[in-house]
Amino acid sequence: MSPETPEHRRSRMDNARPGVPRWVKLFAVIGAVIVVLVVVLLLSGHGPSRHGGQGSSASTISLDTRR
Amino acid sequence: MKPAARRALLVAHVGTSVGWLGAIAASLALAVIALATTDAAVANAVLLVLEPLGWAALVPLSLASLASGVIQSLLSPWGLVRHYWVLIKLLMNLLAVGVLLLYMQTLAELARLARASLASGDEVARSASPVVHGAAAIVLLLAALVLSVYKPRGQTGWGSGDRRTTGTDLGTA
Repeated sequence: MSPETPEHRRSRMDNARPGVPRWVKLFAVIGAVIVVLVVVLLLSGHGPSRHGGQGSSASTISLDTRR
Repeated sequence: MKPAARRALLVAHVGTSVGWLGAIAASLALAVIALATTDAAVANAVLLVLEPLGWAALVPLSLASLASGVIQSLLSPWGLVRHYWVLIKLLMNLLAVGVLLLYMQTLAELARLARASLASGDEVARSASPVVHGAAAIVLLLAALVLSVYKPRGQTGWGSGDRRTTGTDLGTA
């Protein structure tokens, strides 16, 4: 694969269509979903230091299984 | 900016970003081992090592990647907010660093539980959380990598009409 030259990049920039590209909209939707998910999880008590404690969904294994 | 300085910044950004990706991959592999093993000693050992691994590698590399990316963008014709791909990479990096810094508290808690388990001989708590977070981080950084390589077109409102972006010095970011 040959490296893209500055001239190629300039041509691509000059040919850029106005408006928000479709790929940007896709990233925006995915990003918004992720941010909402993070906020909901934090507000629902999923936040830091909640893993593996009492009442969590963490499974356990007994130390008796040690070799 | 001189080509030598531009390349040095590029090396710094690629190096720290690849290092970050590698550190996440190592953490993910350890987390999978801790989740899959039936050996409590192995699970405990992994939970104990994930936190120092995070402070020693994940956090410094993530901050270095963010800082080098911002500096390089500001000093290059790409700019920090002129092109969508650079702006989106910045937002992704900020999100990843923020979640990582929050998640360090979780890793500290998992390490505390592992220590308590070792001291008491009680059962070892296991959580899929490190696997889920590690896998999500890998996906995020791979998406950033794809953006960096393909540089999809599109200028933001701050970039359209700025002819500096169509110059001949775009071999950066």
